[in-house]
Amino acid sequence: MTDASTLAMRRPTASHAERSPMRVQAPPMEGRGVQLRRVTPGDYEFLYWLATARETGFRWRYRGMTPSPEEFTRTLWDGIFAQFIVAGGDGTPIGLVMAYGAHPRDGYVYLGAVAVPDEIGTGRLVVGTIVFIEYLFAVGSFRKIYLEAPEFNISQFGHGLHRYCSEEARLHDHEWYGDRWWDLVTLAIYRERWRTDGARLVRYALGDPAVDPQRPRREAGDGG
Amino acid sequence: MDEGAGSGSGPAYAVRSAPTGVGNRSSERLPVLTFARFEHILRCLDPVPAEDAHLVLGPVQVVELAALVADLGAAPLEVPAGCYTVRALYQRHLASVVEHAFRPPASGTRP
Repeated sequence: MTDASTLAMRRPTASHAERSPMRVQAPPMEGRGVQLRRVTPGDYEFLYWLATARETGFRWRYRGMTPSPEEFTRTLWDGIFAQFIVAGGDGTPIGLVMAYGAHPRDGYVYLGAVAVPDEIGTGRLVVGTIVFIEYLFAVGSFRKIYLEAPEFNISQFGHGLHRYCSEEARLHDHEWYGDRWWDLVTLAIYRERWRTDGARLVRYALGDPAVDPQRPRREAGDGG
Repeated sequence: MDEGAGSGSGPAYAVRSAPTGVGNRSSERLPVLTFARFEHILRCLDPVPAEDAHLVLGPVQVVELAALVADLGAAPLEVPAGCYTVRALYQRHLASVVEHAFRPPASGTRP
């Protein structure tokens, strides 16, 4: 059927033009002063150190236990949707971001991030994590991204988290550390809320040319 | 801990622009925030700081503050997480203007 009404329906609209394959951008992997780069076997020693270092080992995946290097390497990719080294502009690793436990059917994934001790508090891992959140929302049809951590880890990020996350679950007195039990908290970053409440952070983290005119924006097909 | 001295906002800080760099185009200027304007944007953080009260910035707030300042097109403000007074943060902002002004242009960037 090719009557006038169907032809009119096929006429390209502005939104069609915006969705043209020629205009699709690669997912972000660079931010202000940081880059996400792939994890290679050459990083395993660094990651093992990060997972067992004094300042990070008790907060991270193994909670102070020390798996053998072989066991650590064998399980490094278990359940992983995507993970990247967060590196500074000169390539020096400053942390790791990972997405795991993805449920594409139900539209959620878990996010984890850890910084080397010297970088805790600089904000650079936060910038790297913002870039990673943008990456995840770009490559996966996730409705929300969960952050699951004991309370003493959540408090490390300061008061700002609640502006971007909703607390969705709390297991009381779930984990032991020091001389007491701690709650295990699950926060969620919703795609829609992130688009509005997180817009300023994203603009800053991605170094919007309007903010940082010295950083040209690259699009897919640009040779990058 | 990084503390500032003094109290109140004064015209001494009400500089509006600064040159972007030695050898750069002299017409380019980066806005410098007035102290009053800077206090105003700090009200966007939570908890809201009282004037010259100590403000504890976590890593997320460090990025939030930098983003707020950047959104105004002002000179960058990069501070590590910690405990600051409003005035100390403002002085860091002024220092960053000076640092930015004397930073040589990066090679390979657009003019």
